Amino acid sequence: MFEEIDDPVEQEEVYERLSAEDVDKEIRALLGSPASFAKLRTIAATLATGLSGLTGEDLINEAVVRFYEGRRKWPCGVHPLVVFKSTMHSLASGARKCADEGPIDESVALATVDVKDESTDLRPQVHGVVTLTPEGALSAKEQLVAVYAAVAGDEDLELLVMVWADGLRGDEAAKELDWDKKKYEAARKRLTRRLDALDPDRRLK
Amino acid sequence: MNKPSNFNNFVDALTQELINMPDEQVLEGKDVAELQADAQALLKSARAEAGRRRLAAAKSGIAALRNKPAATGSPVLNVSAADARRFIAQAQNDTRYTLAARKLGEMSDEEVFRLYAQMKRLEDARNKGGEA
Repeated sequence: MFEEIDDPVEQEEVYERLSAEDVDKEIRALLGSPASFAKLRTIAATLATGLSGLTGEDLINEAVVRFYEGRRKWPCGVHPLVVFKSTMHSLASGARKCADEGPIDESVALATVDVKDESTDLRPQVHGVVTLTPEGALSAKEQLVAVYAAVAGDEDLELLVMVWADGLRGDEAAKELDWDKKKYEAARKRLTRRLDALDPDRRLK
Repeated sequence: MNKPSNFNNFVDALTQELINMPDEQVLEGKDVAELQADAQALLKSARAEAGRRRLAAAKSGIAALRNKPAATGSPVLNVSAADARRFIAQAQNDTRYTLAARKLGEMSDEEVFRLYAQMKRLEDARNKGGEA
């Protein structure tokens, strides 16, 4: 289902990698914390926006599988949510790339083996079954438009999305918006709730 | 409003903001028990899937190794039964090989070819080892 594209930040060789045992500890700690899991779901739901047939939960699941497989390395000293964000972003980009290249014959897809990046991913990669179609995926630009659509009607949230997309965050973003801390945090919380709802699995609940 | 197109910036900012958000703010209005159950179910399922994939990769590796000699074996076996018997007869006097005490004449051509192929592979491996 996924063809991974290497994330330039995540895949840089400058990072030391955690051992398999430590990766297991990190994953268990992250998934063992309800708050961290909720945060992870918000990121995943956002990244899965516009990926037809893929939900945020699929991205989280695939990322965990790859960490346990050893196909994805876990850099030392990086926050677990950032590590997952990078991995899920790569998976989502790969899924979009597959979709752009068109559907693949399921009977031959599993026989395709290659090695994409020897520095971080030493195992042969078997391309999974692709369920996406070209019209089913959105480009990154369109994904941002989908995020805007999710907050449409709430001007504060539209502004918050805009400053984050401009690369601002935290105090810098609040200053740009001329908001006090209370207003900024309230809008941030509201935005994360809207993003959660982007995941069809969450929307049903 | 002029809408920027940098989705990556947005996701990076979102991730950092979530890291900075207090847990109680994130969990407000959410079913904590359900979150825990979902996370544990995902962990269990993903670990099982990782195990299945690793096993499949290992099997695939073994299959590739098995196929390799067959692929390279055909030119090696491009000899007559007589030549193969001659090679084995000479090898019986070579201390590098330990051959079963069996008369070459009692062996079928098929057995001779099999033994010949094995010895050739052994010889190739030794030669490669010597080069390394």
